[in-house]
Parts: sequence; C-alpha cells; structure tokens
Amino acid sequence: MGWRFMGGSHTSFKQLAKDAWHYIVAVPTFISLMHVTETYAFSTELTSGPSMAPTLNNDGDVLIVERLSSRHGRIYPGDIVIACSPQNPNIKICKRVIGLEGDHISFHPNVGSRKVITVTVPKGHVWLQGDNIMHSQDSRHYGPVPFALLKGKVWMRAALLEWPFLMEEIQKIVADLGHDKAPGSDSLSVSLFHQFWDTHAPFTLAFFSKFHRWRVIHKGMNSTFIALVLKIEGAAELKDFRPISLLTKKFC
Amino acid sequence: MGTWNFLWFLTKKVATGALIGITVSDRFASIVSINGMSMHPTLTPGSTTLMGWLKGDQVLLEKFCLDKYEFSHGDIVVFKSPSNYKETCIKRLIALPGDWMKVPETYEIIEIPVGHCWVEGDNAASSLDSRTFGPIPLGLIQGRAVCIIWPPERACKVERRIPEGRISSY
Repeated sequence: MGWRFMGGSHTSFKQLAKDAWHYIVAVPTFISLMHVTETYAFSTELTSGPSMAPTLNNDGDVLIVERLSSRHGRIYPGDIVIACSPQNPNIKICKRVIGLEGDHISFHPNVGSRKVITVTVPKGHVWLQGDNIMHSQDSRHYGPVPFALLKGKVWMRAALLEWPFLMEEIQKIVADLGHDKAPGSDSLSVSLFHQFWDTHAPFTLAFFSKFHRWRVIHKGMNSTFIALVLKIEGAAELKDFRPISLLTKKFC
Repeated sequence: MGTWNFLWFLTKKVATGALIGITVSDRFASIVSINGMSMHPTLTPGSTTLMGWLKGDQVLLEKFCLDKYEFSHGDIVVFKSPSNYKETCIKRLIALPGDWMKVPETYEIIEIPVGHCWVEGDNAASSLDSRTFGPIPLGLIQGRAVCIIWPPERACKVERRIPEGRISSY
C-alpha cells in the first residue's frame, strides 16, 4: 500500500479508510480460516501418556488428525481416533477403535484376571482400547463410547530430531544386537529381548522416555561389580589380582 | 472480463462471509429450530405454516458454556444423540456429575458418573431421553439454549426450571 500523502484531498482519505477496513477484516477472516481448517479438515494433537505404546510414544508425538472421517461416519475397526473423554469433556483421548455398533467384544475386566466379559456394542457407539493394554483407561473401564464423541482419525505422525526416542529407533537397535550374545549375570540372553519384543517394549520405551524427559538413569545401570581373582595364592598386592569387570551390564 | 472480475470479487466476499459465519456459529452462538414434541410446552415445534421454513420455534444457543463444560441444573441443552451421531436433541439438564438421583418410575437411586449428566424432556410422555439411554457424556453437548427468537409471539428468555426434590448433590 505504501504511505499515502495525507494532504487535503477527499479521495485519498477514502482510500486510506478502505485500506484500513481491509486490514481490519483480515484478522477475523484469518482466525475463521484457522478454526474451519482445524474443525473440518486437519488438526494437530500432542500425545501424552503411555496408553498407545508401542504404536505411539509416551510423550512428544505430534499427530496429524483428519476431521472428515468422523463427521461422516467413516471410522472402521483398527483406526486410531481422537475423542472427547467420556470422563472429562475438557480433555481428549487417543485410542484405537476395536469394534463398531453391533460387534461383540470379549475382554478381561482386570489385567491378570482370567474372567472374561462379553459385551455387545450398542447402536451409535464404538469400543475403544489403547494398544498398551496394561496401562490404558479405555472402554474396558468406562464402557462403549458414543460415536459423536469421536473427533477425528489419526492420519500421520510427525517426527523431528529433537523428539524423544522413537519406538522405531529402539526397535532397530535391539534388532541389531547379536542374537547369541553370552548370557549376562542374570542369565537373560539378547534373543529373549527379540522374541518378547511386544511384551517388554512398553517398559523399555518407558525407560528411555524417563531418561529423555527427566535426565534420570536407573540406579542399576551405573552399578557394577569388579571381581578380583587371585593370580597367586596369598596375594597381598594389587598387581597379584586379576580384575574381571562386569561393567556395561544392566543390573535390575 | 469485467464479469469474471465481478464473479471473483463476489466469490471472495461469499467465502469470507461463510468462514466467519461458520466460526461464529461454532464458537459463539447459533440458531436451531425445534421439530419434536419432547420439550412441549416450553419449546414447541411446527405451529406456524410458512412453507416448511421457520416452522418450529427458533432457539438461540450460546456456545460459551463449551469452554469448561460447566452447566447448571435446569439448563436446556442441545446435544448429539448417543444412539445416532447424526441427530441432535434438545432437553433439560436434570442432574450433573456426582449428583445422586432417583430414576423416574423405578425405585433405583443412581449416582451420575463423573463427566456425565442426566437429561429429560419437559414433555415426559413423548421424550426419548436419559430414562431410555442413561446418563450421557458431557462431551456430547453442543450448546445451551438462551432464548426463543421466533415466532415473535413466543419470543422470550428460556427459564431455568429446577425440578424439585429429584436430586441431591453432595
């Protein structure tokens, strides 16, 4: 626009007013554009909590959520959705859809109990469960969730260099460890970590997340033993001992 | 050439207006029309005969209550039906989270779970409400009714009618 010469002429004032009006209208227009995009097209969410490990990280994942599917009922079992929590409408939850209306869901009401409850999902509801069965508050606790509470389907996950350790990175490192490493002092060999990845992954990820967030390493990581084996009988000086160090072993 | 310019100008204006209109209707206030008997006589459907347009009461909703989901007993709220996400219903809030209430027509006393509420229509005879589908999550609520704005002879502020002796909130 440039600066107008503010001298006397009637038309230049009108032009100034017109320009000012354009700038004033731009603000609510921009805000409305943001709102409409966020509510009807795409929005972003930050994750928090372990209930979707190992699919999503504990902390620091940025999810790109698309809003059209839940508006038109195109959500299917297996989708990860963002929903309004039935226990607190001010917070949002991120879970996987396990069943739609009419499906029969069987589950253990408490982790570790052998009792099985079977539930039919009523009309207009869905059954949500977190991937991390042991640490997830979901439909097993508050029942089927009305479809209208679903706010969007998770479409993508954004990841940058500064983000916390990703499940994929840890998985790759564990996979690269030699399978037949000698057992440590606790007799667990590395192949155990490979075979039971699904079981220990949430705990391993929690260990790394805790380190990333709180700069805390478990005490056991730093503990070590150094065994001194006698080279000759009756050894009295340090040079007569052979040290066997058990550093870099994880003691629990 | 001039027509294209004019059409483009018009499109921009319409798009801007639509964007701002949608935002205002989602965040501040919107208008709904009543077409069910469940809130009679407070809110009546279709008594004027104007070609299907403006048939029922037109009610002004405010959306500021959705910031913190704090409601009062007796508020009339609009919410998405728990049995069909495409439908919206309008009923009165009878009980809020943590209230103990007696379920009508039974001898049961229930506590409204956290994050849920109990809604009932004023016209108990023809109302599909919490007596059928139980307490509903507060997240389903889309707005609170403030006043009736059409037809003019029924235009008035919607009163909060608190039902006597039904609930106890501790």
